[in-house]
Amino acid sequence: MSENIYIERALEFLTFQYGFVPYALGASVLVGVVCGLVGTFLVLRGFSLIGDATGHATLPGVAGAFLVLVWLEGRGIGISGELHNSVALLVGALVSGGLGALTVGLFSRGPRVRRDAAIGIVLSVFFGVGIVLLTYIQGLETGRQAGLESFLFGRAAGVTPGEFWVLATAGAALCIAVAVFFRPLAILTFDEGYARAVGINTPAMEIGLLGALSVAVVLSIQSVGVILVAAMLIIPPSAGRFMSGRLTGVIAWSVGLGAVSGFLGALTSYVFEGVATGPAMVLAATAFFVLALFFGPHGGLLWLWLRRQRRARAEGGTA
Amino acid sequence: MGLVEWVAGPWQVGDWMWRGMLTVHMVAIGCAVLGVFLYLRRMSLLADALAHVALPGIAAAFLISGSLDAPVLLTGAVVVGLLSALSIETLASRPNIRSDAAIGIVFTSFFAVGVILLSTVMRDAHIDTECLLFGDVLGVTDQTIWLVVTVVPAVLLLVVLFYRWLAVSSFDPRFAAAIGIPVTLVNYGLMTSVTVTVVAGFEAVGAILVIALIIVPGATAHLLADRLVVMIAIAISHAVASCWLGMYAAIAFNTSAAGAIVVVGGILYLLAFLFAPRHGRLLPKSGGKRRRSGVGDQRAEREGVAT
Amino acid sequence: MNQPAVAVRELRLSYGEEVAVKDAKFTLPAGSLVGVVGPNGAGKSTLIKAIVGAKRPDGGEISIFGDSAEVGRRRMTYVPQRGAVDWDFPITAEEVVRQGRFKSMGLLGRFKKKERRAVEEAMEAVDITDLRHRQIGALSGGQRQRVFLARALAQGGDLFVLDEPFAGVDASTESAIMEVLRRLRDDGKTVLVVHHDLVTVPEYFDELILLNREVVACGPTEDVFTEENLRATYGGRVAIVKGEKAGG
Repeated sequence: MSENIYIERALEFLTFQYGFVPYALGASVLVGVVCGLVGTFLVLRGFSLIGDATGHATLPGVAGAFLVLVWLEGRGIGISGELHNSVALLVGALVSGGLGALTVGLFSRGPRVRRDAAIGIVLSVFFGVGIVLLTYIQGLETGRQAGLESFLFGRAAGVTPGEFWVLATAGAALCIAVAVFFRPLAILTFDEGYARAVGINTPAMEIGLLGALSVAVVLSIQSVGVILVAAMLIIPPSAGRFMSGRLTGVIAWSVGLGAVSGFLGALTSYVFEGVATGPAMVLAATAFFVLALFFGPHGGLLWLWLRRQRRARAEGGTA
Repeated sequence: MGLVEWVAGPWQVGDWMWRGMLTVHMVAIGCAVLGVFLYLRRMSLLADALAHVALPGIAAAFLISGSLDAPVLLTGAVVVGLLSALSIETLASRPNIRSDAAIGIVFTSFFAVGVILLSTVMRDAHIDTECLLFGDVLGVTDQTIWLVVTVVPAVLLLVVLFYRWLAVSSFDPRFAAAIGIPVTLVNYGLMTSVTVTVVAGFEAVGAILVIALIIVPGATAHLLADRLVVMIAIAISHAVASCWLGMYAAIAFNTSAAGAIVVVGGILYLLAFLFAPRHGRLLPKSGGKRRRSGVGDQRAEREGVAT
Repeated sequence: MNQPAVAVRELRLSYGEEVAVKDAKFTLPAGSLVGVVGPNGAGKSTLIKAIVGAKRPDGGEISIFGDSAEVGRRRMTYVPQRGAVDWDFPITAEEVVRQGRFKSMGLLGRFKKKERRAVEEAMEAVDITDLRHRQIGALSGGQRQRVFLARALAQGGDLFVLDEPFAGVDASTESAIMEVLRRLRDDGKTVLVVHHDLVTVPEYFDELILLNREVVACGPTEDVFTEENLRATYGGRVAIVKGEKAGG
């Protein structure tokens, strides 16, 4: 009986019974694509958790932009329209997220500063600033703060058509930029010293990569939330590493698995009440990762185990 | 006159001031001391993981036992915390997963499970997700106070007793193993202590801000200290200073106390980063010998969390 | 010589799929200065790790002073490769040397006169007494190596195992360290050193182990250090030219 309800809901979702569904779905798939793309470079460079810092660091930007909007409104210069409002919040997120990513990049060079600690410091201190601002906003007498909480765990259903097209355009631009700079990025990822030797402007590429990371994070937070966006940057690329031995292959798998996870996340959160999009998406990605860990052709546990068995048998035969 | 009033004011309003101050000091000092060792072992991000993972731990403990008593929740968090540390270690032993990616995979997955549990099956339980995430310093319950005043001194006592083991295994793990120190046991002991302290401090400062209380004091102290004892002392001072300044700032601006404490801590770190006598970025280097950064440094960097 | 200091039989060490050392077999007479030499990736450090107990063997047996490795290791002192240490660590030279006493003092033992004297003597032996209050990262490569040797001296023991003590060290430190190692040997201790520079081998060591994933040769240096053996170890391209650096 109750299962029927879930199937019914899934059908409702898949046949786009409601107008918001295609946009929610599109936004979630977009998360998988952009995070899978950018995340691959970070994971391969051993810089996975900078995505976590960047994600958490967007919170003060969202809250700060909101405060600016309120302040402007108070002076009679209110920005008209939902879309402009949400774009303003995303710009705020981009500024503080980018600042967070750059801070990690800057702080982690030089003696007496550890990169892992720099990530943790930026993550928690920026988030602290965000919490301070959010609590302050909650104390304000405006009825508009409702939207901000959905940034924590993501609410794909809240993505409006206008917002979706903004996200999709920015996402497409990001993908094109990465494609254009693919070769230097690939060399930088594989061997930084060599990249410098062949005349690639590594600091600029580095900053560019951090910029791409910030954009990917900002495009994702509405659907997956600031706390869990790191997962979408780390888990699909890690799964991809088990599926292919080539950079393009890893990226393709990572983007593909990310997109499917996004789709499943949006579907699950629609079907099961109370399940936020972000966590659902992350768990779908984790499931793919576990599958890849066991059955992936490149270092998958099953194949390793089989090879070991075969060798043991061969050795047993000769001895 | 005005200053005295401003400083004394909050204390006269009611119990909440000393209750909040006591709790947050205890948590911050415990975190700072443990954080020094995590920092030196390049395990800072494990604090990140353990703090996030405590959430599903608490949820699981509640689901299994149906009880919200502190010891039950604490046990759940410790079990799930160690489980996650174990999975991180197992994953990181695969040649194509680096330790930082392993951390990222495990804790986000665990955290996602926790969030889903809290928002579905446990929706009717009296667990305030926001409080678990962001903390509520001024509204701590008696249970939290009792938990904190037992757990933190116990953890500090353990650190004092096992100081030599902790120090040597943080500095030179191979030598530690060679002179018979149970390095793995020390490692897991440290992680358990971190989890217990984090859970005790949950209600006051929340899952995410507690990460700052663990990492920032140690990182600040490392810019200023050349000896471990001094580093721990500075970390504790940093914790205490952040608590006082943050608490008053929160009252002055009517905002989250936990958030304000973390922000003050971050500002203190920034000051040390810029102006520390020998390692600050803005002051001219004194005549001491330039440290060589050898291959070993980079390798240790890449190894990240050596669990 | 009664018991051999270290006896290794059929030792097999691997990292997952990759075999680092196979069928290693040798004995080291007590009271000798022994070098372990071989090309990069020959498994020298892995072998040392197995002897000091930092790496579990996949097969075979190690005995130290006739006892099982676990028991024998109580008489052993280990100086790891310096790469494993974190130079940013807030610790002074003297504090590092004091760590040498921790094994005998236990977890909570206090520093008494005897301990303090051992620390002083160790620092004097390698001439770092005036560096005692410096943070470890503020020392030069040679000074750092002296500090770690002092820690080993403070610890004491009958078997000293040193992993690449001369890497990144200036000439004067190298001869100072050799001086200390010879003195240890003359006091009846056994000293096992992983070494890189073939030229100094005949001058430094009484006994030699040539390693390239398996033990190519082992025994008194004058017997083992032959062109034929070296060619077998290094793959045929090494010529021993007196006074010139071979090896890496």
